Amino acid sequence: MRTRAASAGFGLLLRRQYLLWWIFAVNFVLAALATLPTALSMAGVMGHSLYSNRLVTGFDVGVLIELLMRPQVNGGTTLALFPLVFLVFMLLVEGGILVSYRQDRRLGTGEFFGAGGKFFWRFVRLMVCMLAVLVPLFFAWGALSNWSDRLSSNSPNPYAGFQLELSGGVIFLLVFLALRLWFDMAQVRLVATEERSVLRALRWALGTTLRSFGSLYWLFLRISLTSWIVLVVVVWIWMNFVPHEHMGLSFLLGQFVLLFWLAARLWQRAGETVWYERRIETVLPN
Amino acid sequence: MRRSSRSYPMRFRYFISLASMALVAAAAAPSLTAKRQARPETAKPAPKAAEPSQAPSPPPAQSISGPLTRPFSVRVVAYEINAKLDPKKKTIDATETLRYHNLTGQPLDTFPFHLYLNAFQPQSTFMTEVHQMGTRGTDSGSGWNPAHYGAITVKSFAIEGMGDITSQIQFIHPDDQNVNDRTVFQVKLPKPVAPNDWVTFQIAFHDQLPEVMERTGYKRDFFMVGQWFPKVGVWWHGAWNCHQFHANTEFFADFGTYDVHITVPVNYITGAVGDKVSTTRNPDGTKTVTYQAADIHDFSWTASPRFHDVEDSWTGSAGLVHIHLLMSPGHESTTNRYLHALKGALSYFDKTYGPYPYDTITVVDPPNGALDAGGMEYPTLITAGTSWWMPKGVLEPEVVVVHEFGHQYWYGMVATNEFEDAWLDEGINTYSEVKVMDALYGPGRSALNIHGLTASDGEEQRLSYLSLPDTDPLTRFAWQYMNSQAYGAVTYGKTATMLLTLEGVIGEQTMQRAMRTYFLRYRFSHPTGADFLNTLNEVAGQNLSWYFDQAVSGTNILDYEVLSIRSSGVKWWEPRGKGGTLYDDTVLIHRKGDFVFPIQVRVRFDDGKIVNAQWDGRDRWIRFSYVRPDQVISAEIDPEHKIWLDRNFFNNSRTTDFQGLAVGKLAVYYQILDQWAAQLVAWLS
Ligand SMILES: [Zn+2]
Repeated sequence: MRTRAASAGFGLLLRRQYLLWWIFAVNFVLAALATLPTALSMAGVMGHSLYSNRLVTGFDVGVLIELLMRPQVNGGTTLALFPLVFLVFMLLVEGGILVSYRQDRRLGTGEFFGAGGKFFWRFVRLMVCMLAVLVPLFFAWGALSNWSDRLSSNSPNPYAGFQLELSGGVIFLLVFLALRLWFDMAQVRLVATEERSVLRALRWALGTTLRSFGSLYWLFLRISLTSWIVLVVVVWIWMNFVPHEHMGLSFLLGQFVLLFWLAARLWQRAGETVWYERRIETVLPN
Repeated sequence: MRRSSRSYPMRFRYFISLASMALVAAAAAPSLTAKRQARPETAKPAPKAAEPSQAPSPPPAQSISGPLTRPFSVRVVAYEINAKLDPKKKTIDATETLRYHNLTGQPLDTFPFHLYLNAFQPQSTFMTEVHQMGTRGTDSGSGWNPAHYGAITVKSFAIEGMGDITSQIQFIHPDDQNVNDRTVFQVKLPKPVAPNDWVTFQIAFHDQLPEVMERTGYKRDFFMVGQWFPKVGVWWHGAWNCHQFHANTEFFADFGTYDVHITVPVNYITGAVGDKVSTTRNPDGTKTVTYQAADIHDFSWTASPRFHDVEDSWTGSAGLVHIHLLMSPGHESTTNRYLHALKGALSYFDKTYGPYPYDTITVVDPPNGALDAGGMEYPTLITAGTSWWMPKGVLEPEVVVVHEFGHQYWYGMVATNEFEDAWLDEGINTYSEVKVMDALYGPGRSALNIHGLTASDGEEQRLSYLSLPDTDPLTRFAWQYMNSQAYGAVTYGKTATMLLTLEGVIGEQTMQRAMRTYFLRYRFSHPTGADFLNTLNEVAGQNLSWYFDQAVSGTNILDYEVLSIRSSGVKWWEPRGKGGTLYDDTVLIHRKGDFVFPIQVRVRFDDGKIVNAQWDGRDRWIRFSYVRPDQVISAEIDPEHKIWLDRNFFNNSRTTDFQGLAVGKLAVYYQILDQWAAQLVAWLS
């Protein structure tokens, strides 16, 4: 069953891959626009300078630092803003994505954005709830970090602080993934039942996620693990086999990883939708 | 000392400081002169033959390269210290016998002493300045950490033949009149010490060590014991020179001998300045280790039960040198990196500047949490710094070892006044560090070299200088800099950058000869900035004051730019293509800064021809014009990249074609990172 939900989710991802390409295009184009002011300001400083060649055949960090020290170089406001814009965009389209997965069909533009708009505020409220749950987690992480710093400094074992931080980091990551799974299931529930109460959906999702934690978490985790493994492998290939001046190849590798990461996230959502349909709706028809 | 320990390992570095210091001229202690004038370098007073602790008349360079004979230095002081460490209480109880040779040529009845450990108290000048400006390891505005309390108490003070004068001890504050600062005291003797006589001080003292901070203290069972005993000031230029301990200052002392007996628990492994001559087991479970050293001017030691003593040796022009590397647990992977850097530095200095005359060098690797003890120099003993995960391509451990070893020459032997002329030890040493690192690890990648990601040590020094290029001249007293960041940027970064640029003016070979002459002439003495600059002038065979006035005593900014390059048909009024084949090519160069420097300009034309032009750089701009059958495609100031002081390397060249590859590369990286950041943030939705 577990395998079937994951592979069925993957099939759903592939059948509705227009969603993946479309979101990837938005991610790409908006980031390109966000990068433009910084790139243009850099071009103003080094676009006609021979000194810039030191960044072409290799990567002289000193040249980059000197570049960033020039007051003409844009500080990157748009670069900082873009992730927030993309977050809002995702909140707008996630309703449409889940409806499309649930109905396993291509929605028309109006229908897609209609679904996105319909669930937008509910998903915003869910995000606020998630941030509220994350706050104590962040505090706990801060405390662990301080503890680790103290250990690094005070323990005769030079590895103690690092070991604590690493194991703590892994635990926090796993907890964060579990939280995300819980909120994902609440979103699936909201879309499936058109429930208006976010809290009720959250309560339901918490109970369901806890009851079926093994199957759901494994479904979610292994897709995340796949994306991390792909990232590590591609970075390793890039560091060892791609010459610095081959920007085209670097660009393609980078975009491949980004596409895979996006695909993995949509795969998780598709898998959750399939799981919900098979495990919940067969028992509790909508 | 190395300025970068705080930001290990990613050390593109420096210090955040907020407040500037207001200092009042010292008047409280007429017997002390802390030379106050912010000065351009002036020739020092004519030295007297009877004042060997002053810099002697410079001997001619050719007569100073013969073999050294002992004593290397004029030995003014002879210390014998018996110290016992209490590792639980972090205290030391000690007795000190100091024999002082009065070579000042006049009777002396007043003696100042340093009590550096008293700096580690909240109202000391040092801590006040650290709080205001920050320093390495401590941010400005940081609160008081009681663990950093340190103190040295003189329990008794007697003079052989004159009796106990403990009650005569008087704390003085020659630099700032801070009555709460207890880092310098003076005593007035019942009767003066006649010229050429010896006087013997017998002192008992008690140290409370701070948790490691600013080079000294303890961390768990590791002890780095520096600046820990009452140390007499230096009679220099006709007066006592004995400054308080400041946030930005280091030390200054006379040459002499040290015979130090250190008692520690029997399982402790020790290291110290000089040679270990004996170890005696005591009935109380302790052992006493004796170290002796001569022709040095400071003594520090370290102890820990966890050290692994790695022994090695190196042979140079002055004979065999024993190497002791005291490694801390978890740092084993850095052992060979330290040794390679150390031996490389020994060889470079030996060959380039002169022999290393001592028979030992000890490198202390502080344990985790004790990096504040790292990156420090003492005669024949240096402290390094690493961590268990230090990547191979991050050359921080190597840089620290090369830097601190360099201080054996620029501080240890050429013993300049670190309070007043910090650029002469830290700055010259940073220049040497760059030369050694480039020689050992390759220019362009001597600070960082990971998968094509590179940075050079020289460039790092230049960037440090550029962070605050015009606040203070090199010649400023260390504690009078605008702030701690300015001290680091100018003393280390600017001096190195200034000397690298000078190398381009007089040539690398001449520069090496000048440095060698300076070392051989002034080793085992206390030269001044004027001595250094005069040596450079002498060996270069030219008066370089035009350069020193701007770069050493001035704060001028050097920045030349290619303002424009242009080609237009000579017969520009005729339709394109009809005007024949001749072009008016012009290159407009602009002096943006107030630093005047002769420059070379390389102009390249579209047929591949290159024309070099010279400019004395004095006017604010110059236009080079050519009438040629080809068009100019680029112009470059300083094409051989010798003018390290130039503030902006980007505007040193201009091309007609757009150089899009670098911009494209950065844009791709930025975009990919931003796309990824956006996807991560979207996990909240
Ligand atoms: Zn130094």
